Amino acid sequence: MNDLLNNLFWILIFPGFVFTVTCGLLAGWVVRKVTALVHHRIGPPLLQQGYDVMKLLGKETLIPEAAQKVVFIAAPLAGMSGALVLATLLWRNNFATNIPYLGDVIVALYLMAIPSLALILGSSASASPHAAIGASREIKLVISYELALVLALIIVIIKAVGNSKVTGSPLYLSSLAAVTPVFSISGMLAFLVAILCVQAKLGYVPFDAAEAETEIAGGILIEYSGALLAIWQLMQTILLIAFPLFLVTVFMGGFDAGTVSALLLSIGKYVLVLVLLILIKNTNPRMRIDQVMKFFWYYCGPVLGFAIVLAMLGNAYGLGWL
Amino acid sequence: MDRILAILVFVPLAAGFCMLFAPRSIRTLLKWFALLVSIAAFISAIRIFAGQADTFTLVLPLQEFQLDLLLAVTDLNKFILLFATGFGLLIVLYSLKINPDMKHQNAYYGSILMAIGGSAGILLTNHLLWLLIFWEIVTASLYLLISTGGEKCKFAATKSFAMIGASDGAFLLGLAMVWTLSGDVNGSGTFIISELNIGTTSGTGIVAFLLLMTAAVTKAGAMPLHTWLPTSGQDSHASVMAILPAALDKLLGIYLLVLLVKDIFVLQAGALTLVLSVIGSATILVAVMIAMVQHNVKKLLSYHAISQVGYMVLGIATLTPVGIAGGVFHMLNHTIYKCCLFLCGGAVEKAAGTAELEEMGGLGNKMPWTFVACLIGALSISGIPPFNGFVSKWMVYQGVIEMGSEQLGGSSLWPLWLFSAMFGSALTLASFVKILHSIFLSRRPTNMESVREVPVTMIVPMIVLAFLCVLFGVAYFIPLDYFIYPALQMTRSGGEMLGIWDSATATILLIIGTVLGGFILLLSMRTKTVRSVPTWSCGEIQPNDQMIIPGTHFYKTISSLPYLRRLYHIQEKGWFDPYDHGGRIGLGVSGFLKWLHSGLLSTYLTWVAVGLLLTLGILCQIWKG
Repeated sequence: MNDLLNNLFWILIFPGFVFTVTCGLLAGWVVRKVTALVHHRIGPPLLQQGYDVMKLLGKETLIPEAAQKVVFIAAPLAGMSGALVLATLLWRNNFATNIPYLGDVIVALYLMAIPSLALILGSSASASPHAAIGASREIKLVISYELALVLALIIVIIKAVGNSKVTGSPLYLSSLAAVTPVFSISGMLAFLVAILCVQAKLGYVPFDAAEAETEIAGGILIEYSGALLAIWQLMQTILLIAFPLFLVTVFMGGFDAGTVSALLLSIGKYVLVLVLLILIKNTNPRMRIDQVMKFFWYYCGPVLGFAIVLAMLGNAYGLGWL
Repeated sequence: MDRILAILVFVPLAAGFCMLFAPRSIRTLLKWFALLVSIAAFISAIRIFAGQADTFTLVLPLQEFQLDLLLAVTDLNKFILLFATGFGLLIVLYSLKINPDMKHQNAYYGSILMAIGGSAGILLTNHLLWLLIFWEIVTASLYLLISTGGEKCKFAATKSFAMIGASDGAFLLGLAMVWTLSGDVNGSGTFIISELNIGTTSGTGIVAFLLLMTAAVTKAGAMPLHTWLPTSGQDSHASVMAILPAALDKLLGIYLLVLLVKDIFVLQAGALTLVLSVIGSATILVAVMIAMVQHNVKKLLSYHAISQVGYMVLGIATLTPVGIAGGVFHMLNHTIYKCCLFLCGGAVEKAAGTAELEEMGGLGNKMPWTFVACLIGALSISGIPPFNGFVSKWMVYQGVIEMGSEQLGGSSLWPLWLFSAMFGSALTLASFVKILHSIFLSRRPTNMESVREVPVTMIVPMIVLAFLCVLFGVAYFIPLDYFIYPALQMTRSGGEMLGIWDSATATILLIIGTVLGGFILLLSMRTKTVRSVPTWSCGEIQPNDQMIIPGTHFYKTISSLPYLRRLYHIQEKGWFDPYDHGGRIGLGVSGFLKWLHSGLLSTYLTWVAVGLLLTLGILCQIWKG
């Protein structure tokens, strides 16, 4: 019973819904503010992200007549729920490193697929041709970056297997946080590609073909409005925390909140990832979906294959920097 | 000595065999009789599972030749038996209302019963020759079952029989070598499985292992002898695919593979595990890449039935406890969700009158039960937590990582195996998104308005299987503790797991998250209206059917990528199909013979003269010697 109450507190208040959404709204504001600075604009006020969600919640909800209504309504709920569990899992494993919580790194990778899947099913259920095109692009986006992300993660696991500092299982998030693969050649390559994968996962330019407002009028989200759209936005808000946090955990030595200086350093890591994402977002045009596939499969794939060879060599000869 | 073992094997066999020759006039009676026999088989399997391990021996008076019928219950075969008979029962139940006017009903039900009896025989027997006999019975019943689909299935049935038959030939050869290898100084070997323990250091041992392995993986449907599966999947009844290739063949093939690896042979990590890993990984990736571009729902599912075998083979190839347990667990999970998916495919085909993805759409609210079952099956096979497919894939990954970290043989390539397994899972998700989109979501074509949900006898098997998918995923320690670990002499506390996955808590958290979202939604919708509007079509008024984007075009992008385009092209031409190559060689040989038999007397006389000369020459040589 106590266990359940603990879990309930974790997922609803801290570090789950309330905490993550607050941080996410803040991060969303940072994204918009930095974007504005790049554009030489002033940008929105601090609470704008919150206003947007509240406003959407107060709007009328439209549901297409031909839609599969249950799936159409359930998809955003499932997506947000998956994002929330992912965020809670990542935070808990960073805060309480002695007891692994809920799942390991593979579980985290698979939980990361739930929001995309929910988006696809929801848009596909809306019976709109634009949404169908969006869904088609989104799933192709998923398989494109998944190849690179899996390879990047394998590099991290190789590093953990070969690292003598890892005492627990090489799959625990807490053990991976002790490795810091970013301080090696292969780990750095993996990290750079993984940032691009997160860019695609968040649906940011240049990988926003699934939404592409100017092409397919919002694609996957075209038929969503009012409260349902607000739920999608909440999901994106949570993911804006969860995905960079995943990178910080597996590549950059984890999010340590033990002391004030460690906390500041951890926030610094997160902000670094966030700023990288924003800069890529603001300096690139949208790629076509076949270009995205080619980019991840034919360019990122071989690079990471090479990095895996480096990492294996590094393990075999005890060269940690490879 | 327990007679129930023999009853479970021979009663379905005899009943099925008799039904093959039953007159057509009593076919309604046959259905219920088949149901009765399959219920009886399932109940005896439950009794065997719940009871103490037992044996049944029937000594055959064959003097020197050892062919005693030895049936024995082990922890491994008793749970597989339980599921095999369970699938048999569900399929018979499902078939009751499908195709009431089917021509070959006696052959259909008869061969299902024979497949059940034959599988029970394979699982229970402790004698390799008997195993081969039962193995052939199952192959024959597969042939009969596929050919119940009518004229168009003749080719598929022949192809399946030829390919599996070829691998059975390998089995026979392997058996002969096992006899030699197990022999003592007096030269008399043994076929008793529990007494075999053959090393794989000698050349003969390796060849014997490879031959028997060929039979096992071909039955299970792994590459390279896999092409019988999609060919038969396209035309035969979905229920046929659900029982044999999706369920029983997997159980039997992987059962034999586990026997080979753990009991019959002593396998060291090295070249042989490398071969198995290559087969596993290649099967996962290649089959799923082909599956993605299929347009027919049954053919698409058949390619996944191949692809998923890769996980089982790969898990077993790691030779680590968690890997083998993961492989066997994946076998169990696969049979559950793939059987469910094939049944859903069959239900959709019956309700919509087509299996082509392009012609369907928007059936979700017309067939809610089928949709739910198919959705759960699709999420399971794609390895989405918290469903069962995720758990077993996760265990296979752990096996691969453990193999890598312990520096076992073939281990330096472990990132490659891990990659193909993990990436294959993403591709699986992609092709099931295509199925869900094209059949159940998307827009409904106007001619699909009259589609109705299938009868309850078809819904029940699907829902039972879907429920098992959820149960085995959320509470995965139940199947592990009761079925998998005892079968492999492992325990939960053995510390086999590298990772951690608290599935039950995660499920509760996922539900809490959904409820929270629903709460927010309700709060908002209470104050504001919800309105139903037409789909936004940019202000243009379009006829319904022209607004459909079918899922069949989703992966055209992939099949037209550079390099991959060529591969897809030559795959469609059948270059990767050993059956076609075999056919070509066969045609070449028969063409040569045809050329020889020209019908010209003078040519024949020349050949006769040449033959006589040759014979004389050889005889002279012998005389001289």
